[in-house]
Amino acid sequence: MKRLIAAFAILLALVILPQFVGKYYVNLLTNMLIVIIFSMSLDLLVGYLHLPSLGHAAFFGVAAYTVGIFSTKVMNSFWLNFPLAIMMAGAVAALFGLLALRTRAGYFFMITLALSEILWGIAFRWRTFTRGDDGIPNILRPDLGFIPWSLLDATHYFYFVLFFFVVAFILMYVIVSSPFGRIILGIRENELRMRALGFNTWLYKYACFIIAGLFAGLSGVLSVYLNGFVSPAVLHVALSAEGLLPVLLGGAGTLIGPAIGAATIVFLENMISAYTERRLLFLGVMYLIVVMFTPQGILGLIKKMRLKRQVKP
Amino acid sequence: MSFWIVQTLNGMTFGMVLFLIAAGLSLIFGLMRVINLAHGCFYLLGAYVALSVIQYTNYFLLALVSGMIAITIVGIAMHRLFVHRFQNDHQSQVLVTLAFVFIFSDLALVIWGGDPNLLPTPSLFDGSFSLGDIIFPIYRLVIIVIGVLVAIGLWLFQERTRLGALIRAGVDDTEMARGLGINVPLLFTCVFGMGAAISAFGGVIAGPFIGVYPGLEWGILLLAMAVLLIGGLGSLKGAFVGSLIVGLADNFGKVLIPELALFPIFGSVVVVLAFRPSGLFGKL
Amino acid sequence: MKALVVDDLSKSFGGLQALHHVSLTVDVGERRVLIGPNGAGKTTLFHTISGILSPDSGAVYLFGQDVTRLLMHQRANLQLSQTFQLINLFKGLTVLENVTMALQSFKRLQYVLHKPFSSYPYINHQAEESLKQWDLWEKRNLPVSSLSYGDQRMLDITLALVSNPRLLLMDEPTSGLSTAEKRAVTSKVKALSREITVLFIEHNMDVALDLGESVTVLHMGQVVAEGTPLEIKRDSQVKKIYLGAE
Repeated sequence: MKRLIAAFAILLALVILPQFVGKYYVNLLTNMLIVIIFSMSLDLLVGYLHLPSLGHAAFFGVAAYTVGIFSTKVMNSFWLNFPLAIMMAGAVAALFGLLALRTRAGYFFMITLALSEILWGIAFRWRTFTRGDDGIPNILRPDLGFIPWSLLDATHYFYFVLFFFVVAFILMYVIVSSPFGRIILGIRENELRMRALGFNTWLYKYACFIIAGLFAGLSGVLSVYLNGFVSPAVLHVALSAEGLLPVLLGGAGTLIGPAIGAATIVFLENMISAYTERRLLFLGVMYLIVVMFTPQGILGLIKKMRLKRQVKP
Repeated sequence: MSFWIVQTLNGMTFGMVLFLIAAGLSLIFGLMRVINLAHGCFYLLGAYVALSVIQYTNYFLLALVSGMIAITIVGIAMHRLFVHRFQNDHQSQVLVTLAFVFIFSDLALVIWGGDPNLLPTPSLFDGSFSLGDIIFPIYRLVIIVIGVLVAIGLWLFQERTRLGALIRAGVDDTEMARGLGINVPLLFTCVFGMGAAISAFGGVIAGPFIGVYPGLEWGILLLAMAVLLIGGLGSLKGAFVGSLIVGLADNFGKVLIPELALFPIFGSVVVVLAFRPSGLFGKL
Repeated sequence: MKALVVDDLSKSFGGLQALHHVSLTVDVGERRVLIGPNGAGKTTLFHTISGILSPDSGAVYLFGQDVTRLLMHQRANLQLSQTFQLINLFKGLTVLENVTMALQSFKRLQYVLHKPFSSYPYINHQAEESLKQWDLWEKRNLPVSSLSYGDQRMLDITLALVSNPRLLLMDEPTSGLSTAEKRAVTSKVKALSREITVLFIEHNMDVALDLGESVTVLHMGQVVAEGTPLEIKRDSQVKKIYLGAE
């Protein structure tokens, strides 16, 4: 019950905030929500399945490029491009899952990384299709057709993204609490026993992989409309790493953890970028700090402190 | 006809460079179950250090040795201070190496700038070799020879020396090796350092024709990983065969279908993974 | 129809021949114990029956059906259950959660994504029945890691029985248990209905010959003797194998 009230309060704050801050911060908040969706979707793999993926950018990037290519070369219809982009992300996840889930944990890192980097390389070199390193500019936010809501204004777009953020959050939460979600947990805890109990564990992992890919695709679409631009960077491992850090920082396997982590990272990066261009250096150092000192993340630390408080008389 | 021969030789040259990196990566993974994502950085930094040394002294050999020594030290320090703490937590180890990729690549950007550089070809091997209407740079032939020599050397090392036997023992059974009194942590650090050294070596000798530029640390890592996915982790033979396959596929791809150059490699990786998930000669 | 037929099964690992043309038949309702010195191939045989390993040659028939090519979970769904040599539970979960996890399979509560798990109370009721049968109900909210080894083994067997198996494989169910715990497990297994066929590996001779109604002796990957406990106790070859191995 307490959690529900907290969630509601945060939602309320998010709704009110844009009315008081300038355009720059509204865009920052929008980006934060998008990164949260991306990180939460990655948590489904990293935290709930213990499948460490370094290729999550692939789904994000494929959706972003689908929107970029279709809206500039075919037509800028939201009702076509949005579902199409997400389906493309899902299709890529379906393909990658077939290859990556056949092997053991050590390989999984490598295969997901390799596959997403291959997509990056394709985006980089296939200039006729993707314009290579130059990227695709001038991607306009679409008209929503019969829905009277213009996305051109920063605040309007923020509320648009907020809507999808809430939907995504609720959906992921429901999935994780469902019987399906519980089986995923069982697979994480003891896959051999799950197989011995009659569960087709591969199928569950595959389904979860695709679901994670779909949500990552959602974040990709929202991101490309925010920035109006797509380049091979959306497929690069640096993006996957930027999605993984919040999961580790906040606490994997909790959904809320990655949300906290993502918000923290987005704001920290924003502050740092005011003083220096060394974003990657900052990312690397943050990674070292998190892995070395708080591997269970912020939520893990809070749990530990709570336990300590209980033990003390 | 000469076109095909030249391109095959080009592919083999590149393959040998890939072998140098893939061998180190495979060795590290085979022994420690860690994918060292910073391996491409060792390549990059080795080349950059050599570049600086050449710019000041103009001696290629000195640059090669300095590059190797510098990167070996970096590798050993990185392992001892950071990677080693997570000895049994493979996931954390990989993440630590990831952290270092960002740190190294950003530092490299600060120190050496963002422009691409090319190392000068050592004057001894400058010029081209001609046979009939085939003209091919001597230096690239030298690289092929070096690659084969290193491969033979590594194989002899693995099969015939005590340290090699220790590594093989460690690959098969770390616990047993420890039980036999082998100082496993020291072994790990040595191997990590060796991998770094070989990678740096590759970076320097390939410097005259691949060059060195930001982003290479990922590009070369990706190709090395493709090599290992195809050839199989933990196998020297796999690394060699895989390197040749990827080197040739990449080169012919670039030449014949430049826009879709990655498809031959991608295709090979997918085909091998689909039919033999642990690679052609994979042991793990 | 036989509960289990193992037909001319062979399995090797690299150069090591673990199983060598093993054949075995277990009747419905039987209590068969598999004994043999260390390294005889008992666990390997179990793994080929349950699906963890694929044999090089030969076949496995479960209640008349050829399961040799089936995956582990498919065999489990044909009502084959097993417990492992090293207790294999969901250590991070509570006792109750362990049982409800097993029940999700049996009650086919699997591919539901849109409703919370908590909206299926019948799973918990079913779990209550099983746990009470095995004297674990009081401990239902304890994490598995805080249970005694004996209780963990009881839970292990509970999980295997939740799905009403027709064939139960148990790999050294009493290893590591105290004498009292051994007795508790043995009496519970003895009380199982005859609808369940039990095939188990045991190292402790007393338990093996007490619980088992018929014995198969495995040595160096081959079946060397079969018979009643009394016959096996008297068998000179078996004695040689065990004395020789010690």
